[in-house]
Amino acid sequence: MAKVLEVNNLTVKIGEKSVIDNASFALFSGEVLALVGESGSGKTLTALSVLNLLPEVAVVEKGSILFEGENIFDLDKNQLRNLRGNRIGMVFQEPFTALNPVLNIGVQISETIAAHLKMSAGEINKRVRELLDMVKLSPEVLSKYPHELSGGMRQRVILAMALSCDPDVLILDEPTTALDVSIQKEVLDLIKQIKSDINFAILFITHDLSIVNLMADNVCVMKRGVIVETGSVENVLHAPRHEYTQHLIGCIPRLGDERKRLPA
Amino acid sequence: MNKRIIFGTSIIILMAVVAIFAPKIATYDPLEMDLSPEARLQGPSVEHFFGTDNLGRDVFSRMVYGTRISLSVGFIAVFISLVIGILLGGLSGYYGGWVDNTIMRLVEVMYCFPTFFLIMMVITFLGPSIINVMVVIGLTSWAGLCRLVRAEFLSLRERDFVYSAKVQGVPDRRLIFRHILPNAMAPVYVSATLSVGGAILVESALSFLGLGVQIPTASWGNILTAGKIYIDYAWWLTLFPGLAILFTVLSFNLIGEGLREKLDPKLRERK
Ligand SMILES: Nc1ncnc2c1ncn2[C@@H]1O[C@H](COP(=O)(O)OP(=O)(O)OP(=O)(O)O)[C@@H](O)[C@H]1O
Ligand SMILES: [Mg+2]
Repeated sequence: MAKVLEVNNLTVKIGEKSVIDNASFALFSGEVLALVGESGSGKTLTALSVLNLLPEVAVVEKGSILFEGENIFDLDKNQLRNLRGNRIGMVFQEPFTALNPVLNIGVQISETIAAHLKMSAGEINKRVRELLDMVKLSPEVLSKYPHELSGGMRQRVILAMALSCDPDVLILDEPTTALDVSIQKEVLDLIKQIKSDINFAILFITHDLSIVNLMADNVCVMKRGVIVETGSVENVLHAPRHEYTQHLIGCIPRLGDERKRLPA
Repeated sequence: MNKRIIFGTSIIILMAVVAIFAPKIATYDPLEMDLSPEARLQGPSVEHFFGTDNLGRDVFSRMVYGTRISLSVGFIAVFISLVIGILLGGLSGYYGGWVDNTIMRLVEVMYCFPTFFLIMMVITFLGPSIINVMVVIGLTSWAGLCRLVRAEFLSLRERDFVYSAKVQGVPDRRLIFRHILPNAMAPVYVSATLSVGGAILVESALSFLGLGVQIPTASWGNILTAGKIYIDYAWWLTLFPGLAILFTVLSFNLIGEGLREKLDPKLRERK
C-alpha cells in the first residue's frame, strides 16, 4: 500500500503553547485512520494543517506534511486551491454553520465541481445528481436553502461536496458529533457504504472510541497536541499501552459491551 | 411591514414616477420664460400650481424636472460610493495585512477632510456640472461604507461556511462576492439608503451655492436659490422646493431607519 499522506514531526504553536507537538503519522491509500482525543487536543488543527488552512494565530514551528510525496507547506496558492476540495475533501464538525445561509444547495455543490473540473453546466448538473444519489438525497434539495434541511441532510450535502471531485483523501472532522444518535448511525453507515464503493483514504477525527471501533483500521491517540499512541484498532482498543488511552476507554462504558463482540 | 418603510417607500415611488414621467406631468416647458410683468412672480393658482418665478417660468414644471436631477444625483452618487466602499472594504477585511493597512490609512485621510468643503473645492476646480456633482459626491462619501463592509468581512471570514468553502477550493473572488458579500449586505442597505438622502441634500446645497446644477436647468437647490431674494413676497419659490427636499430626504432616512430596525434582530441572531 502506498502512503498518500505523511505528517512528519509537525509542531504548531499558538503563542507560547504547542497545540500540535511533534506529531507524526501516515495515511495509506484505502485506509481509514482515526485520530482520537478529547476536546481541545488539537485534532481539528491537525486536519487544518493538512490543508494548510490553519487560523492566522497558529504558526507552524517545524515539520512537514507530504501529500503524494510533496510538502504541502511548499505549495503556492494555486496548487493549494487545487489540493483543497479536489485531491483532499473535508467535512466539518458542525453541519449547522458549514453551509452558506444565502446560497441554495445546488449552487453550493456545483461550485466545488466548477472550481476544479472543466465541465459544462450540463455535465456539472449530471455530476451533482450522481452525488446526491450517492449520499441518498432527493434532487428536491437542490433548490432548498440550508435552513430548510435537517442536520443529517446538511451533513450529507457537505459529504457530497467533499466527494464531488473524487478526492484521494477524505478528512472527516467529527462528522456526526452534532447529530442525533439515530442519524449518526445512518451517516456512519452511509460513509462506510460509499467507502466500499469508491476507494479513498479517510482521516476520521472523533473523540468517540465506539465510532473508532466501527469505522477505522488504525488509530492515533492525541493528547494535548502529542500523539501518545498509534496502532491498529484492535491493539489500541484492546490492549492500550498509554494510560491516557486507558482513561479514554474507561470514559466510554458503551465500549465495554462492544469489545466483547469483537473477535479475539 | 414597518410603517416608516411604507411611508418612505410611497413617497420615493411617487417621486420616481414624477421623475420618469416628467414631460407628461409638467404642465409647462420648465425653461420657457415670460418676462411680461403680469406673468412674473405669480402666486400659486390653478394655472400655475406652485406659482411662477422671477422670469415667469412655471415653478411646478421646474420642480417636476428637478426631481429627475435630485433622484439621479442621489442614486448615482451612492452607487459610486457603494462600488468603491464595497470593493475597498471587502479587500481590506478579506485580505487584512498590508492591504488592510493601506486602505484604512486612505479611509482615515478621507475622514480627516471636511467632506463638504472638499466637494466644494473639487467642484470649483473642475467646474460645476451635474456629472461632476454626482461623481465628486460618490468619490468622497465611501469611507463610512468601506469601514462598515470591512468590519462585516472581518467577522464573516472567520465563519465556518467561509472556511468550509475555502476547504472545497472555492477561488477567492467567488468567496468574496458570492459567499461573504451577500451576508454582509444588510447593514450596507441601511447605510446606502441613508446616504441617498445625504447626497440629495449635498446636491441641493451645492446648487444653492451655485456650484451644482447650472441654470437654466432646474434643480430643487437652484430653484431655492433663485427664490431666496424674493422670500419676503414670493414664499412659494422657497417653500415648495424646500418641502420637496425635506420630504425626499426624510423618506430615505425613514426607509433606512426602518430597514435597520427590521434587519438588526437578524444580525444579532446570526452572531
Ligand atoms: N483560532 C484559534 N485561536 C486560538 N486558539 C485556538 C484556535 N483554534 C484552536 N485553538 C486552540 O488549539 C487547541 C486545539 O484546538 P482544536 O480545535 O484542534 O481541538 P480539537 O481536538 O479539534 O477539539 P474539539 O474536539 O473540541 O473539536 C485548543 O486548546 C484550542 O483552544
Ligand atoms: Mg475539533
